[in-house]
Amino acid sequence: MLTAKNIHVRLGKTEILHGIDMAASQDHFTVIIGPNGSGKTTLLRALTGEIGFDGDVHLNGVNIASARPAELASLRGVLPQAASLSFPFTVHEVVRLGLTTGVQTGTDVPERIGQALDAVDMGGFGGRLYQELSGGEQQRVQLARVLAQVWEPVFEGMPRCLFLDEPISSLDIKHQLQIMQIARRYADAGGGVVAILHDLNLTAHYADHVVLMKQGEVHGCGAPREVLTPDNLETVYGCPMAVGQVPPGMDFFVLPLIDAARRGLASPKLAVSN
Amino acid sequence: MSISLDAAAVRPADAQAGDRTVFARRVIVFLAIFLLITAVLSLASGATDTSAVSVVWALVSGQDDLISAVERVVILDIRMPRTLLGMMIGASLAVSGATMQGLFRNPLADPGIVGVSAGAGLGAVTFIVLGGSVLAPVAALFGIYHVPFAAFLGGLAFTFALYRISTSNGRTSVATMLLAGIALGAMAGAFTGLLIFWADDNQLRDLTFWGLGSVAGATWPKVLAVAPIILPILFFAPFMARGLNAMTLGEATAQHLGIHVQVFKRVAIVMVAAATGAAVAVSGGIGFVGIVVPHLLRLSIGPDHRYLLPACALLGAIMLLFADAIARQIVAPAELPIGIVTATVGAPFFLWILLRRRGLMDI
Repeated sequence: MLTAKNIHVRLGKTEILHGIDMAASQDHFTVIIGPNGSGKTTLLRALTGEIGFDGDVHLNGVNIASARPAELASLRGVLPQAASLSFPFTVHEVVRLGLTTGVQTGTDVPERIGQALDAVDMGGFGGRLYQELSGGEQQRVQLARVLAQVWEPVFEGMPRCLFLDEPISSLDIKHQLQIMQIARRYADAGGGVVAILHDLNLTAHYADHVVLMKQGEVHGCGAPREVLTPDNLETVYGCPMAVGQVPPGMDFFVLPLIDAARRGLASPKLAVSN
Repeated sequence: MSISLDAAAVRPADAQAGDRTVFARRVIVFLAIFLLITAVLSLASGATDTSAVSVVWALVSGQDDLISAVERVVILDIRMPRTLLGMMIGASLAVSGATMQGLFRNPLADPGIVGVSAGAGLGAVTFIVLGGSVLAPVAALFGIYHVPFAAFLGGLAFTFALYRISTSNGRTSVATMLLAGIALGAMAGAFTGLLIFWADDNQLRDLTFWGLGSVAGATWPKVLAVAPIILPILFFAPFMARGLNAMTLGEATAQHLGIHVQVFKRVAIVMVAAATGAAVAVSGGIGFVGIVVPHLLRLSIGPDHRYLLPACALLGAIMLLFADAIARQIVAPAELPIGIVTATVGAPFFLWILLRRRGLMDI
C-alpha cells in the first residue's frame, strides 16, 4: 500500500538519498535500519510528505506530493524523533492534538484519549503537565497522540499507516517491548507500520520486512532472516557481527563481536551462525 | 461503604483528568460578564459625575430625560467611542499576541517586543507626516482607512521579515527572534525619527501623543475606521485555534496532523499584522497587553487556543479599560497616556516570565 520509486532527496548541494525504491505492505511491520547518516530519517520524511523529493510516493494510491494534508492525516500518523512543546499542555491535551483533523470514529473523544494513554502504559497521567514528564514518558505520550489520530488500523476499508522514527530510543526495556507489541498488533490488525529502529535484535524479532540502508541507498531488503546476515551487517555497519539462535528453532539474535579483531576472531564465520 | 463511594466518585474525575475544557468555558462566561460590568463602569466614570445606574437605565429604556443634554453628549460622543475603541484595541492586542505566540511557539513573542508594532508605527507615521503632501493621492484613495491600512502594511512587512529571519526548517530560534526584533525595531525607529524630523509643529504634537499610546482621542470616525478590521479578526480568530494548537508541536507535526502549514502561516501572519496595525494606527504604542493577557490565561485555563483566543479577547478588553481608567484617574484632571500604564505593569511582568523560564529553556 506504500510504494516509493526512485526517491532522490537533496539538502542544499548534497544529495542525501540516491534513488530509493521500497514498498511496505499493509499488515506488515516494516523496519528501516542502517548506521547514523545513512538517510533513514530523510527517507521517512520523504515518505510522509514532510520534505520535498524527486520521485514518486503513493500511499493507498494517493500521491503524497500532491495530496491535501487533511487527506494524508486520515491515512497515516507520524511519530517524529523528538517533539518539544513550549506551552503548558496537560498530557490529556497533548493526546487530544492527535484528533486535530476530526476524521473519526464512533468513540467519544475523552474515551479515545484514555484508550490511547492506556495503550502506552500512561493511563492516569492525563492530568500531569507534559513538560514535567521524563523523556521516555514524553515519547510514550507522543505515541499515544499518534495512536489517537489513526486508532483503527483499517478505517472504512482503508488501511492506515503508522510511521515511527526511533519510537523506542529513550525507553526502558519493558516499554520498548510494549511499544513493539503495539506496532506488531497494529500490523496484525491490517494496518501498516514503517519504523526506524537501531535495535537489530528487536528488528529480528518483530519485523516482517527489513530495509537496510547504507549511504543513501538500499543495501538490501526482505525478510529479517535474509537481510540481517553477518556479511550484510558488517558491510553496512563496519563491525563484525554474529547471527545465531539460542536455543535452535527460536528467534535469531545479532551479536556485535566486540574487540573481535584483537582476539583473532575477525571473520564472522568463526562465530555462531545460523 | 464509604470506600466504594469514594472510588465511584474518583473514577469519572480520573477519566477527565487534564481536560480543562469545562473550566475554560466557565472562565469565558465569567470574563464576558465581567467585561460588560467594566464597560458600563467605564461609560459612567469621568470628569463629570454621572452615576452608572442612571446611564445604563437611560440608555436601555430610551428615557432621555433621566440624564441631561450635556451628559448625553459626554456619554454618547466622548465616552462611548472611547470605551468601544479601548475594548477593540485591548481585544485585538491580546488576540494578536496569543496568535503570534502560537505561531512562533514561544510565549515571549509579542508584536510590541519583536518589532511588529514598530513596523506598524512606521507605516502609520509615514502617512501622518506625508499623507498631506507626497502621499496625498494614496491617502485620499483609502479615506479614513489610510492610517490603519499603512500601519497594517508596515506590520505585515515586519512580521513576515521576522518569521523568515528567525525560522528555519520549521523551527523558530527564540534568540534569533528576539534579536531580529531588536534590529527591526531599531530600523523602524530610525525611519520614524527621520519622518519626525520632517514633520511640522502640528504633526509633531499629534505624533508625540500618538507615540506614547492613548485612547484619549477616541472619536466615532476612529471607531468606524478600525472596527471593520478588528471585529472580523476577532470573529475569525477562533477558527485558527486548531491550526495554532497543532503548530505548538512544530511545523512538521502540524502538517502530519492535517494542517496546510504554508497557507496557515500566511493567514496567521496577515491576521497578526492587521490586528496590530489597526490597534497601533489609532492608539500608538500600547505595549505588553499582548504578552500579559495570554500568559495569565495560559496559567489558568491552559494553552488550548480554542478557549485561549476568545478568553484573550475578553480579558484584553477588560485590561485596557482598567488601564484607561487608571490613566484617567491617577493625575486627574489631567490624563496619563495609557501606554505608560501598560508598560509600568507589563515590563516587570515580562521580566518575571523571563526569570521563570530561564531554567526551562535556552533563552
